[in-house]
Amino acid sequence: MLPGLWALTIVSLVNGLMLLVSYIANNTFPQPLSEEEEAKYLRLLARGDEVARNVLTERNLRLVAHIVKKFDSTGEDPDDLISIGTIGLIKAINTFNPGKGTRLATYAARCIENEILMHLRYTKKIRSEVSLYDPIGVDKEGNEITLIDILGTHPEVVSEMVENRFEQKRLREKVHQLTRREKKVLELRFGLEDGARKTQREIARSLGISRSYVSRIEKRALSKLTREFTLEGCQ
Amino acid sequence: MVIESTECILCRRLRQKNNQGLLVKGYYICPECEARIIVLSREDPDYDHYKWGLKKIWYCPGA
Repeated sequence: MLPGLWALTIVSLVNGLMLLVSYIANNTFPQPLSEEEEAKYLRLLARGDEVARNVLTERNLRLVAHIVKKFDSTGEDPDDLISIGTIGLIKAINTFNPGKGTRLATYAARCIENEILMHLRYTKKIRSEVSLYDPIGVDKEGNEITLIDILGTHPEVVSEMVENRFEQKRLREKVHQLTRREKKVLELRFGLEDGARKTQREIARSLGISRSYVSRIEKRALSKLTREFTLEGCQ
Repeated sequence: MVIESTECILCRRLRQKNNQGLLVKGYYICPECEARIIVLSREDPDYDHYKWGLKKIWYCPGA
Protein backbone atom coordinates (compact mmCIF):
# COMPACT_ATOMS: atom_id res chain seq x y z
CA MET A 1 0.00 0.00 0.00
CA LEU A 2 2.71 2.42 1.04
CA PRO A 3 4.92 1.95 -2.07
CA GLY A 4 1.77 2.44 -4.19
CA LEU A 5 1.04 5.71 -2.43
CA TRP A 6 4.60 6.89 -2.95
CA ALA A 7 4.42 6.03 -6.64
CA LEU A 8 1.17 7.96 -6.96
CA THR A 9 2.67 11.00 -5.22
CA ILE A 10 5.75 10.92 -7.44
CA VAL A 11 3.65 10.55 -10.61
CA SER A 12 1.43 13.48 -9.63
CA LEU A 13 4.48 15.64 -8.84
CA VAL A 14 6.14 14.76 -12.16
CA ASN A 15 2.88 15.52 -14.01
CA GLY A 16 2.63 18.93 -12.37
CA LEU A 17 6.26 19.66 -13.16
CA MET A 18 5.85 18.57 -16.79
CA LEU A 19 2.89 20.88 -17.17
CA LEU A 20 4.91 23.82 -15.87
CA VAL A 21 7.88 22.98 -18.05
CA SER A 22 5.56 22.91 -21.07
CA TYR A 23 4.21 26.35 -20.13
CA ILE A 24 7.71 27.78 -19.91
CA ALA A 25 9.11 25.95 -22.93
CA ASN A 26 6.16 27.13 -25.01
CA ASN A 27 7.69 29.71 -27.33
CA THR A 28 4.51 31.76 -27.42
CA PHE A 29 5.54 33.29 -24.10
CA PRO A 30 8.30 35.82 -24.75
CA GLN A 31 11.56 36.04 -22.87
CA PRO A 32 11.68 38.26 -19.74
CA LEU A 33 12.71 41.87 -20.22
CA SER A 34 16.31 42.93 -19.74
CA GLU A 35 16.97 45.64 -17.16
CA GLU A 36 17.30 48.27 -19.91
CA GLU A 37 14.11 47.17 -21.65
CA GLU A 38 12.24 47.16 -18.35
CA ALA A 39 13.41 50.71 -17.60
CA LYS A 40 12.36 51.83 -21.11
CA TYR A 41 8.84 50.42 -20.81
CA LEU A 42 8.45 51.79 -17.28
CA ARG A 43 9.33 55.25 -18.61
CA LEU A 44 6.71 54.84 -21.35
CA LEU A 45 4.18 53.62 -18.79
CA ALA A 46 4.80 56.69 -16.63
CA ARG A 47 3.90 58.78 -19.71
CA GLY A 48 0.59 56.93 -19.91
CA ASP A 49 1.52 54.49 -22.70
CA GLU A 50 -1.02 51.65 -22.42
CA VAL A 51 0.95 49.40 -24.78
CA ALA A 52 3.91 49.54 -22.37
CA ARG A 53 1.69 48.09 -19.65
CA ASN A 54 0.73 45.20 -21.92
CA VAL A 55 4.39 44.50 -22.69
CA LEU A 56 5.40 44.64 -19.01
CA THR A 57 2.66 42.16 -18.12
CA GLU A 58 3.27 39.79 -21.03
CA ARG A 59 7.03 39.69 -20.61
CA ASN A 60 6.71 38.75 -16.93
CA LEU A 61 4.37 35.79 -17.52
CA ARG A 62 7.26 33.33 -17.41
CA LEU A 63 8.05 34.65 -13.95
CA VAL A 64 4.65 33.38 -12.82
CA ALA A 65 5.40 29.86 -14.09
CA HIS A 66 8.86 29.90 -12.44
CA ILE A 67 7.43 30.94 -9.06
CA VAL A 68 4.63 28.37 -9.24
CA LYS A 69 7.32 25.65 -9.54
CA LYS A 70 8.34 26.46 -5.94
CA PHE A 71 4.88 25.37 -4.76
CA ASP A 72 4.93 21.93 -6.39
CA SER A 73 4.91 20.12 -3.08
CA THR A 74 1.77 21.85 -1.76
CA GLY A 75 -0.51 19.48 -3.67
CA GLU A 76 -2.42 22.42 -5.18
CA ASP A 77 -3.56 22.30 -8.80
CA PRO A 78 -0.70 23.92 -10.82
CA ASP A 79 -3.24 25.45 -13.25
CA ASP A 80 -4.95 27.22 -10.36
CA LEU A 81 -1.62 28.47 -9.02
CA ILE A 82 -0.61 29.77 -12.47
CA SER A 83 -3.85 31.71 -12.66
CA ILE A 84 -3.52 33.02 -9.09
CA GLY A 85 0.06 34.05 -9.89
CA THR A 86 -1.27 35.99 -12.89
CA ILE A 87 -3.60 37.90 -10.55
CA GLY A 88 -0.52 38.73 -8.44
CA LEU A 89 1.33 39.89 -11.56
CA ILE A 90 -1.52 42.22 -12.63
CA LYS A 91 -1.57 43.69 -9.10
CA ALA A 92 2.20 44.16 -9.25
CA ILE A 93 2.19 46.02 -12.59
CA ASN A 94 -0.51 48.36 -11.30
CA THR A 95 0.99 49.11 -7.90
CA PHE A 96 4.69 49.22 -8.79
CA ASN A 97 6.53 52.36 -7.77
CA PRO A 98 9.84 52.76 -9.68
CA GLY A 99 10.90 55.45 -7.21
CA LYS A 100 11.59 52.84 -4.54
CA GLY A 101 14.66 51.54 -6.33
CA THR A 102 13.49 47.95 -6.74
CA ARG A 103 13.32 46.25 -10.12
CA LEU A 104 9.81 45.44 -11.36
CA ALA A 105 10.71 41.76 -11.71
CA THR A 106 11.75 41.63 -8.02
CA TYR A 107 8.59 43.39 -6.88
CA ALA A 108 6.38 41.30 -9.17
CA ALA A 109 7.97 38.07 -7.89
CA ARG A 110 7.05 39.11 -4.35
CA CYS A 111 3.47 39.97 -5.32
CA ILE A 112 3.03 36.69 -7.22
CA GLU A 113 4.40 34.71 -4.30
CA ASN A 114 2.21 36.61 -1.81
CA GLU A 115 -0.89 35.99 -3.89
CA ILE A 116 -0.16 32.25 -3.89
CA LEU A 117 0.60 32.24 -0.15
CA MET A 118 -2.65 34.11 0.49
CA HIS A 119 -4.48 31.39 -1.45
CA LEU A 120 -2.74 28.61 0.49
CA ARG A 121 -3.61 30.27 3.82
CA TYR A 122 -7.20 30.67 2.67
CA THR A 123 -7.63 27.03 1.63
CA LYS A 124 -6.09 25.90 4.94
CA LYS A 125 -8.52 28.13 6.85
CA ILE A 126 -11.50 26.92 4.82
CA ARG A 127 -10.63 23.29 5.60
CA SER A 128 -10.78 24.00 9.34
CA GLU A 129 -14.04 25.97 9.19
CA VAL A 130 -17.55 24.57 9.56
CA SER A 131 -20.03 25.89 7.04
CA LEU A 132 -23.49 27.01 8.17
CA TYR A 133 -24.75 24.96 5.25
CA ASP A 134 -22.93 21.73 6.19
CA PRO A 135 -25.33 18.80 6.70
CA ILE A 136 -25.47 17.74 10.34
CA GLY A 137 -28.09 14.98 10.09
CA VAL A 138 -31.55 14.12 8.81
CA ASP A 139 -35.06 14.78 10.17
CA LYS A 140 -37.81 12.18 10.75
CA GLU A 141 -38.76 12.24 7.08
CA GLY A 142 -35.18 11.73 5.98
CA ASN A 143 -34.61 15.33 4.81
CA GLU A 144 -31.13 16.67 5.27
CA ILE A 145 -30.71 19.22 8.10
CA THR A 146 -27.97 21.84 7.97
CA LEU A 147 -26.56 23.83 10.88
CA ILE A 148 -28.35 26.99 9.73
CA ASP A 149 -31.73 25.17 9.84
CA ILE A 150 -31.58 24.66 13.60
CA LEU A 151 -30.53 28.21 14.47
CA GLY A 152 -33.32 30.39 15.88
CA THR A 153 -32.88 33.28 13.44
CA HIS A 154 -33.88 33.20 9.77
CA PRO A 155 -31.10 31.50 7.73
CA GLU A 156 -30.58 34.50 5.41
CA VAL A 157 -30.20 36.86 8.37
CA VAL A 158 -27.65 34.54 10.02
CA SER A 159 -25.47 34.29 6.92
CA GLU A 160 -25.64 38.06 6.37
CA MET A 161 -24.70 38.69 10.02
CA VAL A 162 -21.72 36.32 9.79
CA GLU A 163 -20.55 37.89 6.52
CA ASN A 164 -20.93 41.41 7.94
CA ARG A 165 -18.92 40.48 11.01
CA PHE A 166 -16.02 39.26 8.84
CA GLU A 167 -16.11 42.40 6.71
CA GLN A 168 -16.23 44.66 9.79
CA LYS A 169 -13.23 42.86 11.28
CA ARG A 170 -11.29 43.36 8.05
CA LEU A 171 -12.19 47.04 7.94
CA ARG A 172 -11.32 47.62 11.62
CA GLU A 173 -7.83 46.22 11.03
CA LYS A 174 -7.26 48.76 8.25
CA VAL A 175 -8.83 51.71 10.09
CA HIS A 176 -6.07 51.42 12.70
CA GLN A 177 -3.63 52.70 10.10
CA LEU A 178 -5.42 56.05 9.74
CA THR A 179 -4.67 59.18 11.75
CA ARG A 180 -6.85 59.87 14.79
CA ARG A 181 -8.83 62.56 13.00
CA GLU A 182 -9.36 60.47 9.84
CA LYS A 183 -10.50 57.58 11.99
CA LYS A 184 -12.92 59.82 13.92
CA VAL A 185 -14.45 61.26 10.73
CA LEU A 186 -15.04 57.79 9.24
CA GLU A 187 -16.45 56.47 12.53
CA LEU A 188 -18.99 59.31 12.69
CA ARG A 189 -19.72 59.36 8.96
CA PHE A 190 -20.40 55.63 8.62
CA GLY A 191 -21.55 54.88 12.18
CA LEU A 192 -18.73 52.42 12.80
CA GLU A 193 -19.08 52.72 16.59
CA ASP A 194 -22.80 52.98 17.33
CA GLY A 195 -24.43 52.53 13.93
CA ALA A 196 -25.58 56.20 13.83
CA ARG A 197 -24.39 57.92 10.62
CA LYS A 198 -23.78 61.66 10.70
CA THR A 199 -23.70 64.20 7.86
CA GLN A 200 -20.48 66.07 7.02
CA ARG A 201 -22.10 69.23 8.38
CA GLU A 202 -22.89 67.56 11.75
CA ILE A 203 -19.34 66.20 11.99
CA ALA A 204 -17.92 69.64 11.14
CA ARG A 205 -19.96 71.16 13.96
CA SER A 206 -18.91 68.57 16.55
CA LEU A 207 -15.20 68.74 15.61
CA GLY A 208 -15.16 72.52 15.22
CA ILE A 209 -13.90 72.49 11.62
CA SER A 210 -15.43 73.41 8.25
CA ARG A 211 -17.60 71.03 6.24
CA SER A 212 -15.21 71.15 3.26
CA TYR A 213 -12.34 70.16 5.56
CA VAL A 214 -14.39 67.18 6.80
CA SER A 215 -15.01 66.26 3.16
CA ARG A 216 -11.26 66.42 2.40
CA ILE A 217 -10.40 64.27 5.46
CA GLU A 218 -13.06 61.74 4.49
CA LYS A 219 -11.83 61.56 0.90
CA ARG A 220 -8.20 61.13 2.04
CA ALA A 221 -9.13 58.43 4.56
CA LEU A 222 -11.16 56.50 1.99
CA SER A 223 -8.39 56.65 -0.58
CA LYS A 224 -5.91 55.43 2.09
CA LEU A 225 -8.21 52.50 2.87
CA THR A 226 -8.67 51.71 -0.83
CA ARG A 227 -4.91 51.66 -1.23
CA GLU A 228 -4.51 49.43 1.83
CA PHE A 229 -7.01 46.92 0.45
CA THR A 230 -5.33 47.11 -2.95
CA LEU A 231 -1.91 46.41 -1.51
CA GLU A 232 -3.16 43.71 0.87
CA GLY A 233 -1.83 40.95 -1.35
CA CYS A 234 1.40 42.70 -2.24
CA GLN A 235 2.83 43.53 1.18
CA MET B 1 -0.03 35.49 -35.72
CA VAL B 2 -2.00 36.30 -32.56
CA ILE B 3 -5.63 37.28 -33.08
CA GLU B 4 -6.67 39.89 -30.54
CA SER B 5 -9.91 39.23 -28.70
CA THR B 6 -12.71 41.73 -29.30
CA GLU B 7 -14.31 41.22 -25.90
CA CYS B 8 -13.09 40.96 -22.32
CA ILE B 9 -12.12 37.38 -21.46
CA LEU B 10 -13.60 37.85 -17.98
CA CYS B 11 -16.91 39.70 -18.47
CA ARG B 12 -17.40 39.64 -22.28
CA ARG B 13 -17.67 43.44 -22.35
CA LEU B 14 -16.75 44.67 -25.84
CA ARG B 15 -13.27 46.05 -26.31
CA GLN B 16 -13.05 49.82 -26.21
CA LYS B 17 -11.58 51.84 -29.04
CA ASN B 18 -9.61 54.10 -26.69
CA ASN B 19 -6.92 51.45 -26.07
CA GLN B 20 -7.82 51.26 -22.36
CA GLY B 21 -7.55 47.95 -20.56
CA LEU B 22 -4.98 45.19 -20.64
CA LEU B 23 -4.04 43.08 -23.64
CA VAL B 24 -2.05 39.95 -22.74
CA LYS B 25 -1.08 37.58 -25.54
CA GLY B 26 -4.01 38.94 -27.53
CA TYR B 27 -6.45 38.37 -24.67
CA TYR B 28 -8.31 41.50 -23.66
CA ILE B 29 -9.12 42.40 -20.02
CA CYS B 30 -11.38 45.46 -19.76
CA PRO B 31 -10.46 48.36 -17.39
CA GLU B 32 -13.35 47.45 -15.05
CA CYS B 33 -12.18 43.83 -14.62
CA GLU B 34 -8.57 44.95 -14.28
CA ALA B 35 -9.55 47.42 -11.53
CA ARG B 36 -11.49 44.64 -9.80
CA ILE B 37 -8.50 42.26 -9.96
CA ILE B 38 -6.22 44.85 -8.35
CA VAL B 39 -8.37 44.99 -5.20
CA LEU B 40 -9.38 41.32 -5.24
CA SER B 41 -8.87 39.49 -1.95
CA ARG B 42 -8.89 35.71 -1.66
CA GLU B 43 -12.04 35.87 0.49
CA ASP B 44 -13.93 37.63 -2.31
CA PRO B 45 -16.75 35.39 -3.60
CA ASP B 46 -15.79 36.38 -7.18
CA TYR B 47 -12.15 35.32 -6.79
CA ASP B 48 -12.71 31.96 -8.45
CA HIS B 49 -14.46 33.60 -11.40
CA TYR B 50 -11.34 35.65 -12.15
CA LYS B 51 -9.07 32.69 -11.45
CA TRP B 52 -10.91 30.59 -14.05
CA GLY B 53 -11.15 33.43 -16.57
CA LEU B 54 -7.42 34.13 -16.53
CA LYS B 55 -6.67 30.51 -17.41
CA LYS B 56 -7.58 31.39 -21.00
CA ILE B 57 -4.29 33.28 -21.30
CA TRP B 58 -2.36 30.11 -20.48
CA TYR B 59 -4.49 27.44 -22.06
CA CYS B 60 -4.89 28.73 -25.60
CA PRO B 61 -1.66 30.48 -26.57
CA GLY B 62 -1.90 32.08 -29.97
CA ALA B 63 -5.66 31.55 -30.24
